[in-house]
Amino acid sequence: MTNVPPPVRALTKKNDPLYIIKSRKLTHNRSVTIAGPMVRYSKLPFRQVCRHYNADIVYTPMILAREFVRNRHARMADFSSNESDTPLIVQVGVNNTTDLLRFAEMVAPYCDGIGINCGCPIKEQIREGIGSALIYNPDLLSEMVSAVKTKYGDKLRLETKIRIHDNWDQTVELCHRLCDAGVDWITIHGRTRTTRSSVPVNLEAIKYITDKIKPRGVPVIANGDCFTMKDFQKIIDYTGVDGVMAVRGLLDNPALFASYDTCPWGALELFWHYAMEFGGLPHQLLLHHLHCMFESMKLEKHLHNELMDIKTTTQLIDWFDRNFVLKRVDEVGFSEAVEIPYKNQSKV
Amino acid sequence: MLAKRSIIPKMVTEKLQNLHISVPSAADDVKAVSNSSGRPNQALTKPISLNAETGELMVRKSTGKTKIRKGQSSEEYENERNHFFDVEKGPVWTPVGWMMTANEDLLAKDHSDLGPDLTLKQVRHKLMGYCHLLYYRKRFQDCAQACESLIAQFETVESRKRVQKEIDELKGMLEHSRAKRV
Repeated sequence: MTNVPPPVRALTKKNDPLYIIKSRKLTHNRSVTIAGPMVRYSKLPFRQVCRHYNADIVYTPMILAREFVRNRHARMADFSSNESDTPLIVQVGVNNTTDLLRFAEMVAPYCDGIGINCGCPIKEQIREGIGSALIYNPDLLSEMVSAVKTKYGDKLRLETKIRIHDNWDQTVELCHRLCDAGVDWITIHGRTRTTRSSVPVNLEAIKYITDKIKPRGVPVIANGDCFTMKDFQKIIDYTGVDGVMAVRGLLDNPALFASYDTCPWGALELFWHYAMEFGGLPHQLLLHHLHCMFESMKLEKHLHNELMDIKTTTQLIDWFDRNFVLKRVDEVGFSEAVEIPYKNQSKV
Repeated sequence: MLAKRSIIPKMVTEKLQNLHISVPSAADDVKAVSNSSGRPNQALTKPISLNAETGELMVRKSTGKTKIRKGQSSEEYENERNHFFDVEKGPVWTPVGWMMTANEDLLAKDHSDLGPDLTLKQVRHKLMGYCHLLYYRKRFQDCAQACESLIAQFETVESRKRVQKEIDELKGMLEHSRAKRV
């Protein structure tokens, strides 16, 4: 039986998220691109599609530490990966240091960093002291960051993804405490815990906070309302951050970071390929991904309505083959098309 | 309230008496009151650590009632950790091609005695995923064979009602595969 757990995955220039964040401008002539965590949706097939289209660092969905360290079925459902799933940040929902340290010990051999979710606004999590509740509990958050960094040092990267406070100076103070505790980088979502996503992200706040903590030398990543590479550049130029994390924008268009303004058909073919090869995506989840991508591609409305009525994955495959040219991996031109290749395009 | 207190161990209740329960709410943040976007009940809770070694916590619900989140002893954690590393071999590992080898083996075996636990949803979905992959790859003959094998196995699962939807999908896939394998 295991007395000594497997070693933490070695960090090199290829997979060290902090190195990548700091060096992308030199190596790629652009800031770092990050695919953020989405509850339910950032599963392995989708992560791989994002990587294919220039996402430098990719997150898992939030995994609850409490469940992960106690329940093997939760582990099976929450975390799947493979050799090409790197650089990978496992995002964790946690409200105490003990669970976090145990969680870190279990996932560290299979990822390149851990991100503490301090931004989730879901009330069921907030009531447990998880997610955005943590930005109002700086003592606990700093203690958790410090505990992980004291144990692992530079062998394991640790990030915190926070929301802003109504009083931005409170956020600045929190960031200083996180820097003191040894956090590797901070991601700032430019909304408060009660701001709806329909309200534009507050770039002024991100700029204010970034300016104030710049002397600390800890990279800052901006998150919120990045739907195209124009948005990406605008956010970088305005706020002075080190990189941008896209989340909702990628769900509709996983090729966003490759400068596609709408989802190319090739991304959808790739997603089908990975979803089938890796397995494990429930039908409803598969359907939701395709629905989001088709929204971006402006699929003909009657076909979109048909799509949403499909009840099984088998029917979904048949529907695709009936209406479109859906290439498989061994076919010439797989994942290269941009426009929707209708088989029977409507004249409407 | 009394009934609730009685289920908390004496040692814990003694500790609780000395604790200051801090339940900050949106009202503490003056601007947040006007910035709650019309969402009711935005109360926050700070969990209170009852046992740092086990991670036992007390959280307070919006109703004001407290709730204990049980801790995990070192022994319990070590069991889980050992199971994760030694038996599960880490997270579910799925490189391209894994499903063909893993599931061909599973389907080749006679599952009447020692097979995978088909009462587990994850196990059934993994096997169905194999059929989906064959169907997606247009390997209709192989898909039909796999479907037939799985239907027979799923039909033996106790509380068949739960798996009926999956059996129905397999039957549909079998029918379509037979029609297309010409």
